[in-house]
Formats: sequence, structure tokens, C-alpha cells
Amino acid sequence: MKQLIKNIRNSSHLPFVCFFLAAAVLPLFVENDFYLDGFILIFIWASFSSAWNIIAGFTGMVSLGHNALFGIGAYSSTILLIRYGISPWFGLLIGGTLAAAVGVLIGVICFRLRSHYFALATLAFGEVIFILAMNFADITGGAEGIALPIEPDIWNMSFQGKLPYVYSGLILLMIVTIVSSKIKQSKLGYFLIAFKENEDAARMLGVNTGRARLTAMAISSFLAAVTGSFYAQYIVFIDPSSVCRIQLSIQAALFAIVGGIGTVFGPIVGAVIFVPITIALRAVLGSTMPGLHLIIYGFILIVVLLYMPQGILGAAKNKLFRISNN
Amino acid sequence: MLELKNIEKKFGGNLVLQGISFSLEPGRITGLIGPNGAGKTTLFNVITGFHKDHSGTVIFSGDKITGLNPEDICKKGICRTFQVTKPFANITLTQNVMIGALSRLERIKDARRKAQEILDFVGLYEKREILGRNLTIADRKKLEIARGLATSPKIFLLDEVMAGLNESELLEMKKLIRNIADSGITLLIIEHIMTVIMELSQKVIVLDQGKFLTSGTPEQVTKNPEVIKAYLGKEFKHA
Repeated sequence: MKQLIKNIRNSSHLPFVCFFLAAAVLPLFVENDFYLDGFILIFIWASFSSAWNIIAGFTGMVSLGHNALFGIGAYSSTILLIRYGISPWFGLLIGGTLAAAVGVLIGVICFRLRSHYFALATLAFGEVIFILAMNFADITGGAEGIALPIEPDIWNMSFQGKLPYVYSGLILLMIVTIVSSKIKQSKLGYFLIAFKENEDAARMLGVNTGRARLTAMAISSFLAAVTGSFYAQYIVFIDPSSVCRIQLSIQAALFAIVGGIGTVFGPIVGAVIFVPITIALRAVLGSTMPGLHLIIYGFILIVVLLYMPQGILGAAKNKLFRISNN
Repeated sequence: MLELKNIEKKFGGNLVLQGISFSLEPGRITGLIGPNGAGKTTLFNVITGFHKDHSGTVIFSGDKITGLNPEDICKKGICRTFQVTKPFANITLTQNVMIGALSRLERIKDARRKAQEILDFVGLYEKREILGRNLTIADRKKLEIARGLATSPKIFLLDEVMAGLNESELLEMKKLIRNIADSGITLLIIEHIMTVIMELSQKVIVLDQGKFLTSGTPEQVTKNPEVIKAYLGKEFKHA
């Protein structure tokens, strides 16, 4: 029995292989667009939260500016498509690269700050990008936003029906998760943990903590922006308050914290819990009680933090650890 | 091998190290002693790059290493332990030591193997799957040593690794330190327990209030009236 639990602990991927299988098969039996939309949003927000987790969860540098990186992705691919006719398939890579460069710049400037000071600095950065997106209306369309073409065209990453979005969203999430998991098991992952646990000790053991964090920030920013591009393609309309607002960063943090911050699959668990709640409440209550889902978010967050400070997966892991070591 | 020239360090206007110069000979155990506040740990911080705003030079194997970052100094072959142990609390001992090993190795598999060899060497192999936060004082000290050893240092600075240990743990630690020295690593040890340092070191350096007081063999140092004065105060000069 102990051995079995040890095996489960060590092969913690198993439940998530099951998750991805289920996520791949289930949509085939769902015909209602409403539910398919739910799948797509889960995949998008889980991807974004996972991307955020690569810097914030793995290193403890909590960024509240990831909304800006998401927005950079969404705007880059959209503007490149609308103005220059460049396919979003390339646009998302260009946006991702731009965001990675911006992420590294944020890191170079702000990594000397610790905990809440870093969070505040990145929060300010996110606001700056939001304001820029609002005011440079010639390029971004300002508050009026930009509408994307809706005619189905693979080249334009625009599909007929919901199912292709479900599967491209799923592939996106799988890519983000695999990247995240590879980092965690790599030399970089060990260096990030070392930094998070104790910077002085890490440095004395030869860890270049600055470079490790910048690498993580670049990867995290890239993936956040790619997710933003995909979101824009799915929603086919973007404006600053849908792709640059601070709530996106907070939501990414919320999903990861409740699911298990710093774990590879925590953000997915968070998204699977929260996204359906949001959708269901919106459907049931319509616009009669706007913001109720936020109250429920808050309630869940408080309960989880009180009883499982390391999130749902963190608590599960500790439990398995204790059983298998006794 | 390691040479310090005229090290001076201030905290605000307070001069905590002044005119410190000495050198370490390879393959030996050197003790660094002095009353509280003598500047021993500060000197470690200077050597390993945690303090940078000091004057004077530190030379290692012919290279000037003054002003380098701790991680670069580690890569050159100088590592240290911390007096207040800093284990990576939420990962296993193997993973703790692997991080040190990864400073020289590329592959995770190799680092894991090396970490387990070293845990075996320091006597923590049985506890390799325990989390860093669940250790006793003695084991935390051993983990500090294991992690440092994993970086393959040429010079290893130990900051009070014997403080707070009981008799049997002390014996074990002494044996471990001798084994490390026998493997060819040059050691500089800060220690408060005089008998231990006298037993282990071939040479002892004494600091007092930030100044170099004297150095020599353990016998020479213990008989030096200046040292007795520094430790016990003036009245005991003739004790």
C-alpha cells in the first residue's frame, strides 16, 4: 500500500493524463455550444494561469502585470492581421517574442524588488500598458476596440463552429503544461526552487538567480502572450478592458493559488473549479446580480487558504508525502 | 592558495574589519577564532562575495576575486556554510544537494547520483527523501556541508558547524571534517568550541574587534597572553 502511494506520488502525472484524455474525448459528445464555450474558456484561462505560474509560482516573484503581456499578445497578432495581413499563426509567435522581450525588460528593472514591492511595480506596468492601449487609438482602436474577421479561414485562425477552437485550445494548454513540467524537472527548475526557498544559499551553491529568473520570465511572458493571441482569435473582438485589465492577472493568481501555486497542474485545477462556476452563475442569474461570481471566488479563496494554504494540489501532495514516509 | 590583503569593512561608520591579511595553505585545516563580534562571519561574507563594499583584495589561485558575485566565486571553487543554516525547506535532502551538484553538472541524473554519494558521505543517506524543514540541528548542519561539497569546492569555509551539537554529534562532525580535509579540500573553520578547534586545526588565526591578533599553531595561540586577554579580559592576564 505504502509503495502504491509512493508510486502515485512519483507518477503524479497520471491524473492529468486522464484529465487530458477526458478533455479530448468529452467535447465530441457535447453538442451544445454553450458547454463547448466552457471547455474553451477553461483551456484558455488554465493556459494563462499556468504561464503566470512559471514565474510567480516557481520563483515566488508574484507578477500582477501579466495582463499586459496577455494584451501584448492579443494586440500584436490582431494588429498584424488586420493591418498587414499577417496570419495569426505567425502573429502569435511575433507577439510572444515581443512579450518575452518586454518580460525580460520588466525583470531587469524590477527583479531587485522583493515580494509585494515587485507585485506593485508589475501592477503599475500593467496599468501603463492598459492606458497606452486606451490612448493610442490609431493603432489599437482605443476604447472602441478592434473586431477581427469572422469568415472561417484556417490561414486566419478562424474556424467554423466551436469544436476546432476546443481542440486548438486544448493543444495550447498541453503545450503550456508540457513546457511548465519540463522546466520543473530541468536544471532551470531546480535553480528556480533554490531561489524561491533561499536566495543566499542558492547563490552560494553557484546558482545565477538573476539569469534563472529572467529565463523563466521570458518563457512565462511568451506563453501568456500566445494565450492572449488565441483568446483574441476566439472572441474576435478585443479592447483594452477585455485583454489588458488587471483582473486578468488577479484571476491567473487566484486559479494558481487555489489549485496549488508552484505545482505544474495547480492552475488547471483552479481553472476547472472556477471557470464553470462563473459561467453557470452568469447563465442562471443573467445580469440580475452582477459580480456575484466574485463574491463566490472570494469565499472559495478564503476557505482554501485557511485549510489548504498550499492550494488543493499542494495539500494533496503533502498528504501523500506523509503517508508514504511513515 | 587563498590570500587576503588588507581587508577593511565598515558597517555605516563602524569599522568591523581592519587591515586583515593572511593566506591559507592548501590541504590544511585552518581555524578562525575570536570573541563574539570579532568579525569572523563578516570576513566569510567578504571572501564569498556577499559583502562587496570593502577595501583590500582577495586572491584565489592567482586570480583577484574581490567584487565577484557569490555564484561566480562558487564556480571558481570556494563555497561556505551559513552559521544560521539555510536549508531549502520544502524539497527533499536529495534535491537540496542536487542544486549544489548542478553548479558543475548538466544532467539531472548525474546530479542525483552525485547528491546521493555525498549524502552517504555525510551520513544523511537514510534521510534523503525527507524534506529540508524536518531536520534536527545536527542534520541541518550536515546538510549545509553536503550541499557545499556538492559544488566540488577547493576551499570550503565552515561557519560554526558544531554549535549546538551534543557529545556524540560532535564526535561525528569532527570525523566528517577530517574526512573532508583528507579528500584534499582546504578548510577554514569558524568555531567557538576551543577544544575542538585546537584538536582539528593545523593553524589558528585569531581576530579581535575586527583586527588580526595573532596566528600560529594551536599551542602557540593558546599560550599567547594577548589571546587570553581578548577572550577573558584584562584581569585574567596572569591566570
